[in-house]
Amino acid sequence: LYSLPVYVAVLNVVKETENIRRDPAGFPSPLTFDNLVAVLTRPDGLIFVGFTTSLVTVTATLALLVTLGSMAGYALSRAEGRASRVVLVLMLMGIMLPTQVTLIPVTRVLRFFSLMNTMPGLVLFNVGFYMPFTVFLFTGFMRAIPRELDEAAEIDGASRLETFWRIVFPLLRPAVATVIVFVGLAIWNDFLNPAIILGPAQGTTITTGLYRALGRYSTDYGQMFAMMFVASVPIVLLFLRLQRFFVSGLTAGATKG
Amino acid sequence: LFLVSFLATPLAIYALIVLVPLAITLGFSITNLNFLAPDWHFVGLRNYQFLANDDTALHAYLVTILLTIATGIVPNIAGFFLAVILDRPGRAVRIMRVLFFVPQILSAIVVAFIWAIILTDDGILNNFLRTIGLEAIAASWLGNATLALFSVAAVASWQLLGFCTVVYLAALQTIPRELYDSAAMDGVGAGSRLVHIQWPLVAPAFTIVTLLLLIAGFKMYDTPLVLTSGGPVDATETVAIQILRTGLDQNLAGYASAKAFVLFFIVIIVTVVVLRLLQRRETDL
Repeated sequence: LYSLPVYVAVLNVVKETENIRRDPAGFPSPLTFDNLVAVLTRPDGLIFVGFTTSLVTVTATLALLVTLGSMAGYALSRAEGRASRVVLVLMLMGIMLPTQVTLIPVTRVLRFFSLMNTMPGLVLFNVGFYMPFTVFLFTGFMRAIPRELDEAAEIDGASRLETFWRIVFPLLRPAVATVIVFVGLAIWNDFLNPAIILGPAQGTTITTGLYRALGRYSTDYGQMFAMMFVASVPIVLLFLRLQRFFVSGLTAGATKG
Repeated sequence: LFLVSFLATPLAIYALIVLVPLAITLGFSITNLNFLAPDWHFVGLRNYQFLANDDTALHAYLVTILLTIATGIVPNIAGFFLAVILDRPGRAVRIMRVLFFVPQILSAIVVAFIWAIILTDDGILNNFLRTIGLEAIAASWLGNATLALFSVAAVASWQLLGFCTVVYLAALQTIPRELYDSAAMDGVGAGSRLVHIQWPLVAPAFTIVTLLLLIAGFKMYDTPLVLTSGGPVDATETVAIQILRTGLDQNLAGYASAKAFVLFFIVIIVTVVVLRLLQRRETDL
């Protein structure tokens, strides 16, 4: 009973719109792929534009976040004293911050740097916004890595940067996987931020595009379901593969807060 | 020195995207800034005074708080019981876990659209009720102010349930099975095992789940937007929705910033208080 809505949604992808109206929960006969075809061959190419935009945004954000976040986490996990505590408290505020609180000023800041309505602007926003979560996760994770490891590397003549990249970073794989799953999911599914930051003119992510398209022809149920299906399948598949990292990372990261 | 060099870039980006806008929000909130009017000046706390007497705004806070309470409790408790049931080996159980988790992965936009089709006046649910002769129960799930609020809370809870279940499952699986065995030998039944072993030992998970549910509840935006767009009238308009309407549709940036800052303030206070309480509870148990 719990999964019924998802089940109905998937069934209706391959059902004719006529039949959806008449019998939404029934088994599809005749089976049809017209809905999927229609969505994939939309004249405005919404699905492909959306996919590319989402994919580029997610990849660029994650690459920057993992690099910068892990470096910050390394510094914070190895430093004692008030400065690092202040940084962590400032970051904690960011974890609690609802986007809507700062979104209007964010548009001003991005406009100041001429990054409003651009993909780099959206990426920069995502990197900043998910930085606290990432830093907390990495800091907690690296506190568990013995300091003696760094010291040994230093005696062997490695610089701080070398120690980090060649000794510590390779040990961070589970934490990196968690960030990828967690933040990747959040960005892929995010609606409001890309809607405002990219604006209507500059392309759209898959989720934002979905919202706009569904609002417009909300009578064609078949295509609606097909579009939701296409937008969701990749993330669900990726997620089911990486599920265990989600759980382990969540419990590890969250207890530190 | 290395600390500074490793931290500089991430902190700069964070400051630019989060801290500076937060400061700007605070600054805007004591002005009468309107993006359409060129001149503006400081108005002190007048926005906050206005807010305290603005019934529409106060109603949005009430809606947000009610929704947060509902989504903080319902999926939380249901998720715990579900996790207890699913905490056993077996193929069927593994498949069930995945099924319960799928809504959590989907975008709130997608989830809300599916439910909108189910819940609208001539939607799937009402049609179903009519065909099985329960026409009396058929209702305007999204059109009636009270029902719409329940519907939004229910859909949000439905989506969050999977998340709660997974975290509780992870916590339950850290409990050594020997503990159950020795409890069973001492004649402890399933009921008291639940109360005396499982519930206390997932206390840290309860803290995490509750906090994350609270934070998610206060910023609820996508679900009511798609289901009801805040309506009927403003019955399901959360503060998050209202901030953007005031700020971007009505261009009242100053007033919107005051609303936003009050929301952030509430989130911080509630989160910190709840965290303290729950952590004390953890050590007591």
